[in-house]
Amino acid sequence: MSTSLERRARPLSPHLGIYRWRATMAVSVLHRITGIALYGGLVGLALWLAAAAAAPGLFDGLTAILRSWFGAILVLGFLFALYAHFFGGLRHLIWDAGVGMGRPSRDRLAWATIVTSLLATVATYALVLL
Amino acid sequence: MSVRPSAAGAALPLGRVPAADRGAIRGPGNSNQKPHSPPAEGHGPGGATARFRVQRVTSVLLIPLTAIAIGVGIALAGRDAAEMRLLLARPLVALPLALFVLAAAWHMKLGLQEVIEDYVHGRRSRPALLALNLAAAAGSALVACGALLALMLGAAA
Repeated sequence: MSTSLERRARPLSPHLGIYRWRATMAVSVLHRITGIALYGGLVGLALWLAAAAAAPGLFDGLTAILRSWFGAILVLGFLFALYAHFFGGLRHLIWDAGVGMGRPSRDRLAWATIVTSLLATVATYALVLL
Repeated sequence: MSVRPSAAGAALPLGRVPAADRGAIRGPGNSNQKPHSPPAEGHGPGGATARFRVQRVTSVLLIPLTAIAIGVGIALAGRDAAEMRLLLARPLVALPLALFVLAAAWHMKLGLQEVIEDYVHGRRSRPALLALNLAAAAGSALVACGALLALMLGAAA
């Protein structure tokens, strides 16, 4: 019967679940997620700047939130997203130049992206705390 | 329409592709699939190739601009609200920050557009989300630049 056939779950082509996680895949996924997170970050930055210019009370409130422990998590997360997307983006620009696409290079670039982003986040936050 | 060598195509060994097959080589994200939203695909203004180029140009611009924005963030940290406003009002801070916001807004609009086109296929939801994306990105850029301008003028007055 055609109706029961139509209702049955349709077969899907192999998706994310079948792949073994590798650094390159993780950084690729991370690039998209951090990109979306940074979108939210820029909308937030625009609101914060608008408050700075036009709503002093709101600006004080927002700045107080940024100073709290919750704000610290927010700032750290934003910084990491920024660095991960920044260094991940540099990786894409290197590829655009037509180099670094061999297996050893692309694995090295992926790990370098992860390690550099973490180090840069910690270094920047340490600079802020000083 | 003749096939121009695109930013993506330039990296491909176009010369070794038989002339008959060259039509298959298009910009990124555009194979021989049936286009979902014809005006946005392929070559031409607003097409995939133009978007690919703008995405790269803004990413290169964002290398120095992001460094400046992080520097401003570090300089702002630990200051009180009044000091923050004074610092943000300085043209040497506000103008590069405005450039950062403009380049970032354009870059993120193209990025999220790619995400929407990858995952959202609804007849209504797709154009709605694409329009919302444009509005959010352009709105953020406008609000941020307007605020920086107001801060600069406010300090100058």
